[in-house]
Amino acid sequence: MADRMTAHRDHDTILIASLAAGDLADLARADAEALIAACPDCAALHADLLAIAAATRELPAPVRTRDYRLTREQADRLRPAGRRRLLEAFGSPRLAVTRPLALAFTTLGIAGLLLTAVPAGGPARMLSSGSERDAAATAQANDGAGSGAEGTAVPAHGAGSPAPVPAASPQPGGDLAGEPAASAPAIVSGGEPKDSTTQGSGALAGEAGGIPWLPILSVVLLSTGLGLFALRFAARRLDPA
Amino acid sequence: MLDSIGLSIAVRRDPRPVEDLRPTEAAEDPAQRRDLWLVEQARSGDLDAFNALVETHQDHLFALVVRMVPDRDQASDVVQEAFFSAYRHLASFRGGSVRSWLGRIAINAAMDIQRARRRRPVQPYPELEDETWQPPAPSTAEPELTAIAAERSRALAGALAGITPDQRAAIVLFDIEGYDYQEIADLTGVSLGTVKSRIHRGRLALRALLEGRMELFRG
Repeated sequence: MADRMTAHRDHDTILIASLAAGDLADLARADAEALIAACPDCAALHADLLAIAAATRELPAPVRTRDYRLTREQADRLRPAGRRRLLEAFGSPRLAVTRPLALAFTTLGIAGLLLTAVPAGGPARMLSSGSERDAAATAQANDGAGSGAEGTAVPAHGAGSPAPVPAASPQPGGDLAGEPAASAPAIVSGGEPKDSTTQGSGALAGEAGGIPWLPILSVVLLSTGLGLFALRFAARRLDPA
Repeated sequence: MLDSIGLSIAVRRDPRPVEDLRPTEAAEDPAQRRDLWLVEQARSGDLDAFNALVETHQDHLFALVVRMVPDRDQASDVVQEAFFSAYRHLASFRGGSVRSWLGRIAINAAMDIQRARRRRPVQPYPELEDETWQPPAPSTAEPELTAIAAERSRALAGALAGITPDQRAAIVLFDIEGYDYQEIADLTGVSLGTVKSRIHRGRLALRALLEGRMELFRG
């Protein structure tokens, strides 16, 4: 008896279950049937599984205790009309893009406004002016040794540079394009100095007298983002389900 | 109960826009013709038509869901949410069997709530201790046979509640609802082999749980 039980434990019960479910192809089926013929426990398992499957199919239907018909109020809430329907669309999970979109617009809007609020050129100019200052100081030190105290120095733009830049006292300012300081006249290739007072903020607010695109765009983005957030919030409030 | 997290998941999940591929012969079957007509009416805003559909199918849906979610209160809420979802998404019905379409919505809702329940395990199905929910036996049967049948159903229902939700869902869909393996695979989002494995292992688990009570099932 103990030997039989030990042997049965080693038998493939999944194979027996597959046979009971009628899932086996010819070869595996033959194996399973041989197993059932040889092992009484496997045969009992097979019979039990068939009986369980049959009993499961015959399980009586549980009795319903509630009426699931919809009331008019429920129906109105589930399928709103007009403005509510439009509004609900924003809170719908199918429009899951609303939230990230609102977040992106708001972030871009705030970033744009911050960028606009920074004085012309802003941090970028400060950074680049620092490097210019270093370059000018280096050049001054190099030239100072040879030419004495001339008061002006030509920054090292490379040997034979055709664009000497007046290097009075180091100026704050300068932008990403490496323009000279706003208060210093820039010397273009033709040698004509050009007042670049308005060039610093040109990239942000357009040319002098032009339309300040960045602030406008930032406000539009921020408004759109906040509007989407508000619509979503209102939609969720309307439809708590 | 309706505000539970699990149900909110069920509510927010749209029914799968999968056309029922089972042979329906809708044109031949008066019941299905009536269902389709009612769906058309309900789509145009006729609440009474939708409620007629509810009346027709609520017993079936409840029986289906209560076997997948043995907590009766929760099952009841799942059925309600399934009808809510069906009403909300009437436009997504693409023809075929209305009964199967509603069944799929209910199955999705039931599986969602099972997943939510698995994430927050609580006492599993205490309602199964309550024997009053078993349906009354037919009065014409012999009392002894009736008692055995009732005891067998109770034992099997208890054992079904003891296996894993995945195995239970597969067995209910296969043995009780009559879906085939491929349909269950589509419904539950797993492979055909996994469905078979769940059914086989589920039955083996049932047998292990019913050890000592198998005489109720043998002849």
